[in-house]
Amino acid sequence: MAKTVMVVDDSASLRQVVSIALRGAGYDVIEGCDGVDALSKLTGQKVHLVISDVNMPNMDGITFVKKLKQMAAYKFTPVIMLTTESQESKKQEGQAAGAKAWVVKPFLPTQMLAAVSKLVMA
Amino acid sequence: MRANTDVWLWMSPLASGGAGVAALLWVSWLSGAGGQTIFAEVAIAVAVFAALCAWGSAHRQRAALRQLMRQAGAELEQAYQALQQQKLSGIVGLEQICDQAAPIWVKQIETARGHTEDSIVEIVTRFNAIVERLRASVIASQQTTGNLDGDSVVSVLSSSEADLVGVNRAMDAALRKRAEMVQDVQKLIVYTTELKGMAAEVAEVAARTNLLALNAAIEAARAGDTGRGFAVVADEVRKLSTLSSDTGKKMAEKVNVINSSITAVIGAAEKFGEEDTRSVEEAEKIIRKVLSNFGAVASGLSASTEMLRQESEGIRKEISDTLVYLQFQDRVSQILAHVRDNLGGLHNQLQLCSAERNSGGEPAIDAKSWLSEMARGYTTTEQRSNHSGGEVGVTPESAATEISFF
Repeated sequence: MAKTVMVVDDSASLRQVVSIALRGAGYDVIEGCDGVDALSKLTGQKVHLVISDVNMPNMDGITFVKKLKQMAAYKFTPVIMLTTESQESKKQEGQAAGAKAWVVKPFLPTQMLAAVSKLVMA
Repeated sequence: MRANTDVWLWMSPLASGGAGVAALLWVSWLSGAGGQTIFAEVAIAVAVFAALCAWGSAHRQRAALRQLMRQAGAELEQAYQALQQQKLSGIVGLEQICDQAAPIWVKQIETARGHTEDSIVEIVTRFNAIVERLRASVIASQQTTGNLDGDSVVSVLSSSEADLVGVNRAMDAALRKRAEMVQDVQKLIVYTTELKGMAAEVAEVAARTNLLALNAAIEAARAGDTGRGFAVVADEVRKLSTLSSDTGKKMAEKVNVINSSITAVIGAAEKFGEEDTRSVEEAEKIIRKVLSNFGAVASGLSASTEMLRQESEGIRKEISDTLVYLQFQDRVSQILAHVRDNLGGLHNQLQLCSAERNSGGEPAIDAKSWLSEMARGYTTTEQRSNHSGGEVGVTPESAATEISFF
């Protein structure tokens, strides 16, 4: 059975690139255009991993991850922050929120998939 | 200009003093021969007077210059004030421009950002379609070639060749067995020849028996009535001899018929055998030719399949790499969005300033705070580099994923 990954990014093109790479590797994908949209789509179904941008309208990625971790069904769901931010302070914010990895855009799909595989299997 | 003025300010008394000294020396020269003291004193007095006059002249000149400088300063101050006034009026114009242009810039940037985003989405969609079509082509190609890779096709070809060569060998074996059968039939001719000889012997025995029966009949006739019974026996022996003779003839005839048939069969068999041999050789040539052609086609097909697979992988990699560079659109989008927000914020700030000014206040924008606030919103290294006055941030030529695990 295919694993499910949620992709949250306000950039439609980035969501598309990430989704194509994930679907090509056999994952099912749920997309959200920001934190609010993503939370509305998480209705208790099994999600094996979340990939989220940081800077988004309505609700940024850090706030989204904090709220995600407060939900019982997704408390232990691993999160990858996928962002243009590379500042150490931002990374620490992401880690404190509960993220397991920080990937800076642009990314090579193969390396992103390797990170996804590593965290899904963990 | 001021430096030159100072030089002349101090040069004038020196020049006047110099003239006094010259006069003193001249007077001393005139009085030198006779030692006339009075002339010397007068000369000294004249020289001192000249020096004092020179000093007074220099002092007046310095005062005049100071006056001129004060005037120049005042004029400069007026010019500066005028310039400041000019600048202030320039800021007002700028404010008006910003007030009207900033919303337009915001819209222009948003339009450009939106177009770029839409275009990238379209490009990614098309790239994905190309990848899917390539994948479908490769699958179709594999199905056409029996879902086999190049090595398997060659392997099947080799196997088929071995099978066909085996068929050829079986046909050769069949031909050899047919030749052996012909040889066996040829041996029958020898047997029939022997049978023919035996039939001749039977005929000879019959002839002799017939002659014996004839002699017995003659002797029986000569014996008269006593030999009548013997005459009957001799007659039966003669009939038996005739019968044997007929049988011998029939045997010889049948043997001849059999020999003719065997000869005809052997001739036909040999003829067919030769034709079969030629057919087998021809079939073998054709099979080898077909196998060779098939091998060439299969090798070409395998090569083209492999090439297609490699090309497909190459194109997929190219597209994958391209997708990496398309991600820079996200960075561009964020930079443009930030500029858009800053312009919008500046527009709002200018409107607030304008309202404050209209209400009699003296609006001011703290540029340093404004810029610091602007910098806090940066999300990319390019933005920070541009802001700090470094080299203009450009898209890196090669993208390497930066991943940190916590």
